[in-house]
Amino acid sequence: MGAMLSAPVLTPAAEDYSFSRSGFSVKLTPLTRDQAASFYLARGLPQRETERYSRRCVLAATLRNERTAGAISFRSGEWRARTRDAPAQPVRTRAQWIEEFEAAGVPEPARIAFEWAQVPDQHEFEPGDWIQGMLAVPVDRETAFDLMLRWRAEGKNHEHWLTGLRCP
Amino acid sequence: MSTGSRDCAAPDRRRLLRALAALSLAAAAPVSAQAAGGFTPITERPPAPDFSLADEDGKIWTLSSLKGKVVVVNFWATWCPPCRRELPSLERLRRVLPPEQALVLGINVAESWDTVASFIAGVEPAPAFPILYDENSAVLKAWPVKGLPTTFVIDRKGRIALRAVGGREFDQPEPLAQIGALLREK
Repeated sequence: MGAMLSAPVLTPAAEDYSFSRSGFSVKLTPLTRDQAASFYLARGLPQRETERYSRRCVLAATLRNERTAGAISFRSGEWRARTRDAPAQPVRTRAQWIEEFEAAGVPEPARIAFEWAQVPDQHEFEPGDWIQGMLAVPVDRETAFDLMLRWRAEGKNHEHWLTGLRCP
Repeated sequence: MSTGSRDCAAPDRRRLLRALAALSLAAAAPVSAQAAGGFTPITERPPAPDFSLADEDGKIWTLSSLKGKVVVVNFWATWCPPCRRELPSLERLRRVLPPEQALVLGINVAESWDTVASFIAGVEPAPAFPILYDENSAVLKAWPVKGLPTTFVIDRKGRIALRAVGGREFDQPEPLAQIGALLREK
């Protein structure tokens, strides 16, 4: 995602976290509060909703099917984040955000940009397909957490815990 | 509406083959790993949802009126980095396609003409294909799109034949060969 045409939000502000297993390749880049906020403010998201979204950890995700055959699918609502002091919590889906923004009267163009800039709630990749999107994790900034991603490939469920993530 | 008769199609196919040959040399140059690869063939080839959208000049483009041609439909937005990266390759693709048999349509999602125009001004080569404006994302939602960019290739019968989710370099040999195969279909 890019905040402005020439201001790449994806410029890494912190360590990237990545893994690749059974052909599912994942790269997560923690965004600063300013990076996440400036992108949505520039798309017309009101200050209040932008603040609500960007105060927690926001990751820029690149997800890819690197298999030579067979689809990979996921439901982001099944992904979980846990900290040392709190049990695992689901990541917030884009449908949940959109529902909240509709109720708050957020203008449609801002909602559309927000919706399509998020990791989809469910997705199926064919080999070679990939997506980028933002993912809001229910963890405060500066707090270390582990993130579990679950996906389906070859008719089997897979999951992987990334450990020690942190948003600046 | 072109029916791709043998007489007029042959020179176009030769042109496409020449382009493929030239581009196979270009393929030796490094291609972003993010952009490598071709389309996913859609075996069942469902009908492409119809749309009528205006371009920057107010001209209305209706997909169903383009039957008989191969149509590349690219959903994109200026704030989407892979969309921005692949746009020049769509223009290079347009340049090697036979215009009476194929065309490229870019569908911008919910942005203003000003935003798109100021972005396009900096793209090299600048897209000369029509950019259509899906102001409320209604067309995007009617199509099987989950993320941007997503690109479809519609066959001569108006069916979705190929799909690519995520950025590509459309003028590379693999996608060119896939589109070339669709052009050879009657």
